[in-house]
Amino acid sequence: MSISITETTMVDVGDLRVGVGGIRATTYTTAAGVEHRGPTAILTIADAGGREVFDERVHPGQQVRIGEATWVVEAVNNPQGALGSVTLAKVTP
Amino acid sequence: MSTRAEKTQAEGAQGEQKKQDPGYSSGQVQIKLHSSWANYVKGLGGEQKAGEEQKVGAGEGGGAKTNAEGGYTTGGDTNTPVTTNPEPKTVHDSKDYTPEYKKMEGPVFKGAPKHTDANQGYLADCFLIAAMSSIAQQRPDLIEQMIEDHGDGTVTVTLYKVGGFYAAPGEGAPVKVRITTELPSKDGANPAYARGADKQLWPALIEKAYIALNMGGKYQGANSGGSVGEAMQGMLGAPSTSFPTTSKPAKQLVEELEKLHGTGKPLAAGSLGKDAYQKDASLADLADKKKVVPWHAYVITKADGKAGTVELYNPWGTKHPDKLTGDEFQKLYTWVYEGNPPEPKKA
Repeated sequence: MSISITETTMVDVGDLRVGVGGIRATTYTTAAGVEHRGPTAILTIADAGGREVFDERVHPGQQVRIGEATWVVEAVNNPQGALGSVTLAKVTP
Repeated sequence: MSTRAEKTQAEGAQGEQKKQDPGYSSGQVQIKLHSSWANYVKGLGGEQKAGEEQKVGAGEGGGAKTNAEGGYTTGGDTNTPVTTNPEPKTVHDSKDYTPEYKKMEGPVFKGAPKHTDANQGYLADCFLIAAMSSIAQQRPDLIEQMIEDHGDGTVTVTLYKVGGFYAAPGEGAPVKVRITTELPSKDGANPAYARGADKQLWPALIEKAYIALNMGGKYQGANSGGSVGEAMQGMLGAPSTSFPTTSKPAKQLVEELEKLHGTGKPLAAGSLGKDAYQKDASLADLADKKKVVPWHAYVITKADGKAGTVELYNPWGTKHPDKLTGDEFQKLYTWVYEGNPPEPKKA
């Protein structure tokens, strides 16, 4: 299962709402310890009452906990002059 | 996305300066937007003279009752036919997202409307949510007057056609858009797009009616942004005003915003486009630190001239920016949008 979240929008994932913003190229370190430069995004997770439970810049390959489930950032798209998106894929246990 | 896609509404305006793209511009102009459908209506079916019946909203989908031709009219009473539900499908990263119309639980209003009621959903229409939220903050009475609940699963939302040619101010005529209270939903419990923070329906109903009237009858029509100023005009009737945040020194700007806010003007602002952040890492870092989402529309909820600060509301209903100094506001936001509501009715 995967979901693509368009930049500046919020989508329901279970009981939580997940928003994406601030997509741009940054330098990050992968789980394998390799430094990489590429598109990253700020993922905001809020509960139904609007309380933020997560608000951090994420990169492809990074795992994120959304409620009870783990998701992996499959892709961060950053098209020139247009809204980007983040694709999350649910990690099956 | 909101302001990046601001239309150059000044095209064709007589003697007016061309409106610049607020996502990138830092010009020094102040422009009155004079869009009216009273003289001409652009769009479906071309030009139309004022007073003629208008039929719009030809989106597909949904199970709403419609008039014989599947559109709706601009009639002004409860005999107004119910419009076809706007096509609910949107596209995200080249993938179709297709919620279905469901009857939502919840009243139209829960107490007086507040700006915090309106939460954006899975649609890039922050321009629309920011506009309605800014009006709710300053003039909740107008939001209440905008929606008439018929108690039969339909409401009539009074809006104004926008996106037409420029005309003299004050010539816009109200358009009554009757819609069902069904809303696009994936889970059957929550609207997929705009929603009320406490399950009130008014934000989603205004969104639905606005999309039916002004976005080609398709939710996707609002999924790549739009004009905050135009949306304000589409709800208030009167032309809105916009000016660059850099039009005056920071201190004066904040004082001006405080003054405008004090006179009951709905105020919104568009944040800087992300391409600018790409070019200037310090700006990007400032935006991240202050929790400002690029290419996004916000409600200006407070400006304190004495303290020199500006406070903003994110239409997401969460991740509101930290309080900004005037200087930070100028760096991170490009344009201010000022709605021009009618005078309040005297008791």
